[in-house]
Amino acid sequence: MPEEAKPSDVVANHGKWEWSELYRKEDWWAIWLGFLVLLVGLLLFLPRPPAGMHETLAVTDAALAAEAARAPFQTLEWHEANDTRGGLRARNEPFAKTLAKWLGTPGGWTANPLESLYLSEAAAARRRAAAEPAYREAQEATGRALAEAREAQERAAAAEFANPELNDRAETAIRQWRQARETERGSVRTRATVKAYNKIPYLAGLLVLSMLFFAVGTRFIGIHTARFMGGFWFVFLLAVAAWVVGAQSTLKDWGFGGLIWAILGGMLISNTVGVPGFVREALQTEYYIKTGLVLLGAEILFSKILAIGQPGIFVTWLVTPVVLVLTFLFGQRVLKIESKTLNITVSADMSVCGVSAAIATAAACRAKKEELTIAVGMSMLFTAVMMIALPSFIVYVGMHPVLGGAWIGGTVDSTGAVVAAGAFLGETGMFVAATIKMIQNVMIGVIAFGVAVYWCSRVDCLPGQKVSKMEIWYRFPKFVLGFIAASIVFSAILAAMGGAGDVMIDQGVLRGFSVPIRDWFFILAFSSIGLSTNFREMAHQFKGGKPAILYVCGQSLNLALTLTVAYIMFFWVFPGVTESLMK
Amino acid sequence: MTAAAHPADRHIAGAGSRLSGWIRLALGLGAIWLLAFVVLPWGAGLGPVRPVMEVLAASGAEATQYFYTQSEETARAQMYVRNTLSSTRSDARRGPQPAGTASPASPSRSGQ
Repeated sequence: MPEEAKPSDVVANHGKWEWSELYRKEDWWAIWLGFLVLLVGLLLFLPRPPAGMHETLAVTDAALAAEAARAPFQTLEWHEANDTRGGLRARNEPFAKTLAKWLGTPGGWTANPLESLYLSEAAAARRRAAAEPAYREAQEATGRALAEAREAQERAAAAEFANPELNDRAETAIRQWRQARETERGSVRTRATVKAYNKIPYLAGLLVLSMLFFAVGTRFIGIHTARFMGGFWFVFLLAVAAWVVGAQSTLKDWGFGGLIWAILGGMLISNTVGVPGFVREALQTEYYIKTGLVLLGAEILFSKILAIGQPGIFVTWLVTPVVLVLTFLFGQRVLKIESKTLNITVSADMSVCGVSAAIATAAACRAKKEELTIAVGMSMLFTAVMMIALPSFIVYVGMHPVLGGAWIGGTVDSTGAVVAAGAFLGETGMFVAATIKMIQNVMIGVIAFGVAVYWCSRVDCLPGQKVSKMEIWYRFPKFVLGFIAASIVFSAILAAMGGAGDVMIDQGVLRGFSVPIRDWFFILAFSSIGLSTNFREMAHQFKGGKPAILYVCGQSLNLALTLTVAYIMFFWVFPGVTESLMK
Repeated sequence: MTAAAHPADRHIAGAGSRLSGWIRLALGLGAIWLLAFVVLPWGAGLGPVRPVMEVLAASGAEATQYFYTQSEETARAQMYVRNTLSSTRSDARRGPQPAGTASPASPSRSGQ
């Protein structure tokens, strides 16, 4: 991202296209490298589906349909079929687990940061032993709840599911079994099944691989390759240190993960002892971030939009753009924020989905790195507050879990915080919140594209100038094309594969390969941002606290509008969806 | 780090600013330690915060995930919501069923 606005940022109808851009420009290298990763992912996963995948899909589909027809509530067998289907994942295959080891980030810790990188067998055994009683108790509770649910369901079945009282009892018993199962499979199981690990060799391997991966393009795009490689390890080490800090249990619970520590850690170094000279050539923020964004594009799967039917589309795809545009206008006309790029980055960050939207929007409009830092920092702070305040308020006023879940999903920024806040409302509330957030996440493809076009045609131009279509093309950030192309290609593959698409693409190529790689690219970018950010410049951007005022006002509008539309959609227009979700 | 005019002054100023840089770095790291081990644990124990934090800790959900593909729960949620809604739609298409009809194909094993 540019240090300051340059005259070249303004469209003056003098651009021209040269084919050599395809190998000389960073944007195109981001596309080639991003697609290389995606292609490797497809080649690794598609030939190796889980054994009996198609048969399991057919059996579970039949069971779900039959059970739905058999009883007026979701039976034990329905849940078992649903769980079996959810457990079918290409990334659970042995080769994918090996990949996960190589791409994994440092582990969680509470008091000793070294345990993030290395856990001895003795320490793992101590952790397992400490968690064992609670885990055994949780397992026994699940077993008891299952037996009770089975008995209650058999009674209801004996009455041919015609006795409402028996049906209610069976439904309640099944819900209690699900709750007990959730507890058993939560953090207590993670602690009770922890294994020894040594992440250092894998991290060293990843350092070499990622350095070579990015070094390939450097000699074509004007970066000194040897100097880049000489400084890359420093950026990578800062990224590892940021993951370690962000894996601390308390910080993690509050939502302060690796990305924010990469920025803060980098800023701390650059504004105190200074960044060593040999590192400078490796501070290629845009190179890392654009490659990561092309990978993110593959995660924008359009079939997800329909995950919760029409109400979900209205709550996210209607409210979110309205809030984004109104917040941006408020920032320009009322707050008179000097920088339009800061305004749109904060507006998108607040209205769409936090950090990922901020990254995509900032890159699409060429925002300054300090502006992205402000947007990400504010998002994390406000998310921590909302993650606590919103579910507490929802429970306090006794709001319906579907409405509460939709409200949380549409307004809390990050997915993890949405899940955490939704869990406070129970399983249904959490499922609705997570699904709404997922649909909203898919919006960032459209938002990034729209912002890029708007900036080329309306913002980066002289007053009164009419920009030609070709000029828009010359100035368009080309990596956005890769981002959109990845989204279209992966959405098409997912749709063409039917039920197997979730198993092989979502739960294989993406979550098993490209997502962890993209995570590394983003944290490298954020480390670079931190290492090249100046506190004074940030303070200048934050002048008068306008970004915070913008965030608070925009979020207030978002809260009011999301709640209103969610209520109208889930209770007036599509009450059947709400009834089904509460089954 | 700014340089002073005289070489000797520059040496002293350089050493001084280097030292103050390291002190500021140590203070920054100390602030992070304070946040992780004093401020946030204290905040997590406050009245309205504690219940949410307890649920969060028990569920194993990770509040640091910023995109849906990083979260296990979004996949589970999508599966549950989709199967629930499609079951309801197929119910509606089929109309009333004879009560007590047994499932022809129940999977024998539980996933995950």
